[in-house]
Amino acid sequence: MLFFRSEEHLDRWLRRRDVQRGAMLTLADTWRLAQAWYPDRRRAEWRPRTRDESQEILDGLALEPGREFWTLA
Amino acid sequence: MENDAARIFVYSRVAERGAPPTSGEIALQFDISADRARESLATLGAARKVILDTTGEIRMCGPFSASATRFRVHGARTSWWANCAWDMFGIPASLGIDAQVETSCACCDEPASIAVDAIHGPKSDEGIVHILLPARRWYDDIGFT
Repeated sequence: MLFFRSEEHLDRWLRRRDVQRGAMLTLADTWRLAQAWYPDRRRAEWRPRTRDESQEILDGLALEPGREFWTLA
Repeated sequence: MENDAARIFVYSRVAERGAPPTSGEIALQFDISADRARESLATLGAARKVILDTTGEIRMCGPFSASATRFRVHGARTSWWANCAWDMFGIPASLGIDAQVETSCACCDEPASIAVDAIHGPKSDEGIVHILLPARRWYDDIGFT
């Protein structure tokens, strides 16, 4: 999960490695994802999420390129 | 020692000092043997509360990295390494703090500095984040992901 200056730089990086694009997020969407994904683990009541709970978070964000990419195993 | 006590200590220590504790520091904190501290870390690892390296020490305790990466997060008093571009925002999000993220473009290595507000997130929209692998493959090799 890497940072790029622009979509042009991402495409250049993908061509160089001959790999397909995955999900491209704006910084605002990355923030939404981080906020939803990372509660404060210092809290006594924190516990790892179940797969279904994690999937619910991903589904709720409705990020590009669509649900198939964001479906956990 | 309760497993939750070890987990809270790990995450409190990394939040305060910028790096997760070693098994030796856990042993000192709870006044237990080094073997028991390593067992405690193994238990946390098995419960997916931390990710261990091959020596049994903490490698990642999401969103924090125990080793240097290309994602550095600066708070008012402490700095941390993030595991990835997602986690560079995960640190200020989980701690509820303003931060300054220092990273670089994976294509050209040009440095980028992103101010993050504790409530509203990044103050700039310059740059993007790319996630190469689909979610179903994230845990095949979490280090690569």
